[in-house]
Amino acid sequence: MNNYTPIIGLEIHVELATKSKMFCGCDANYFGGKPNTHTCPVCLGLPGALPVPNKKAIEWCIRIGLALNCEIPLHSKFDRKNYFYPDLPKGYQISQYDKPFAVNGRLVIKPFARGPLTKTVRIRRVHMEEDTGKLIHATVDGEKCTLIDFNRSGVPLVEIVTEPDIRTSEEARDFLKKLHQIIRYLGVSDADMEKGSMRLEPNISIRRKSEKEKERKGEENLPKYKVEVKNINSFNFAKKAIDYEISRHIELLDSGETPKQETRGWDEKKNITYSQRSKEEAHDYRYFPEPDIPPIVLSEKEKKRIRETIPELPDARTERFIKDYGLSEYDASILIDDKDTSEYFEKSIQQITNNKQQITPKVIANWIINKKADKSTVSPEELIKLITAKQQKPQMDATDLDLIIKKVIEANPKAVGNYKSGKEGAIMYLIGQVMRKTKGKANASQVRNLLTNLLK
Amino acid sequence: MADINANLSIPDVKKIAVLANIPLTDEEARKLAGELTQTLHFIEKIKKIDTKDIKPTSHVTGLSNVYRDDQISPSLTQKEALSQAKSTYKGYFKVPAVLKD
Repeated sequence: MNNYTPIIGLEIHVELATKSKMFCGCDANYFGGKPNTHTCPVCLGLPGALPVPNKKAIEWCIRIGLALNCEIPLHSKFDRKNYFYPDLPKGYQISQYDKPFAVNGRLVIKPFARGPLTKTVRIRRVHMEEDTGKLIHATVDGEKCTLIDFNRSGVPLVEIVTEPDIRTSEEARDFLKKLHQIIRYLGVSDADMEKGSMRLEPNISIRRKSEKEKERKGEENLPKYKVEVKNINSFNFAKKAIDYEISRHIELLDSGETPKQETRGWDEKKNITYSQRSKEEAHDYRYFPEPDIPPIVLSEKEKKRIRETIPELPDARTERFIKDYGLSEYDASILIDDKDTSEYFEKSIQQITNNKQQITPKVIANWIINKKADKSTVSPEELIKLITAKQQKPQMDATDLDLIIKKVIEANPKAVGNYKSGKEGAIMYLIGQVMRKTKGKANASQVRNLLTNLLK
Repeated sequence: MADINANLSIPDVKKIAVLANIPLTDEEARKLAGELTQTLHFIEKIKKIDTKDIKPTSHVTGLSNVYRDDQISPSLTQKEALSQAKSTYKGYFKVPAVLKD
């Protein structure tokens, strides 16, 4: 491993949560629907149908580009990517080739678990395309066949492509998690990995290290091959697939072979990758401008307007939580991990300002982080009530409690004497007396501490 | 791809045919090699036109930013969607197996 440097790039597909499909008005929420009930001549590729792009999907694609610090070119267009596979009814996919909506971005990842180092991953492009139909490989009447459901065909799909800047499988996972977080914060997709609304495709190769190469950086000496692992639906599988590929390539290279440039799949049961589509001809998609869709020309004003729709993103929210609420970086990063959790936290904070209670943000943060209450059933208001109830005992007025303890000490010289002469059990009697006088409002361990201090 | 000035070879034509998913007989490939070569030569001729002051474009309509709002309109019924298909099964389009195991 030490003689090689892994070179990893990522492609991520994100299905947008628009109401309608990318180029037609069919309902884009196909999940769980009966097969072929969300289709029309456009998304079935019937002759003469005219695709018209969904304005919101384009804006959301640009929003993602902006959130990833991309440049947004003012001129953009759609292209046809031609290939024959039955998941595409038209024989081509409407995608973007040389003029994507966003280019040259970057995302900084800051893995807390591994020290204060940050890592910048460059984003090559963010483009808009359409999802494909779903294929089911089946046997009907003893014959193998492929069944097609076109409900997903034409659902807006954003593809995000990084430069090959990633060097370890951990970095890849950190990047993917961060990207997932941002997509969720942007509110443009549920990014649900299990439903396939976010799909991951790492491409991996490894390069032999040499002294010279250690000094040089970047693309000038990328390996001659790369292996792409398709359609992974979990961060951990992506990490495992990368690790698997790295060791597979090292083995091949050590034995004098070069890994084959190919597409592979991930077998989550066996924890291995396997060769896919090797019979497929060389990729030649013969892209050309989509003649049915006029080009898109943005104005600076529109770009500005879209930029203004970007909400506070995870990094900014982490910083604000640290600054405004005095949370540790660790606590803040856990709270912001999920958008809903961070909002739940802030709503709870609002409850305390309203109620003027003595509950600190740190206490609320702990409750949420340690999952003492289930946020799906406990409202922020109820959470504060719960915390208040729990805190009421130790929150008993300190001078009152002090007074009661002193009275108990005066009234029980015998027990005090026993305690002082070494019978430690006598303290339990005294605690009991205090608890009775405070009608159970005091916190027993607090009382014990106060008592032992006073009896020193 | 062949040099643009040379003739398109039969293997070139066959490769294009595979990409376009069109089966060709040898005879058809030979005939098309000639015809497509002519087309290429014609494009060579067009390329000689002086286009120094002409902006590149991918469209001729002069339109831009033709969008639709994100609104749902009714889809076809499953029956309608499948009505033109050669073969269907339980609401799905059915085609020859794409995976060969």
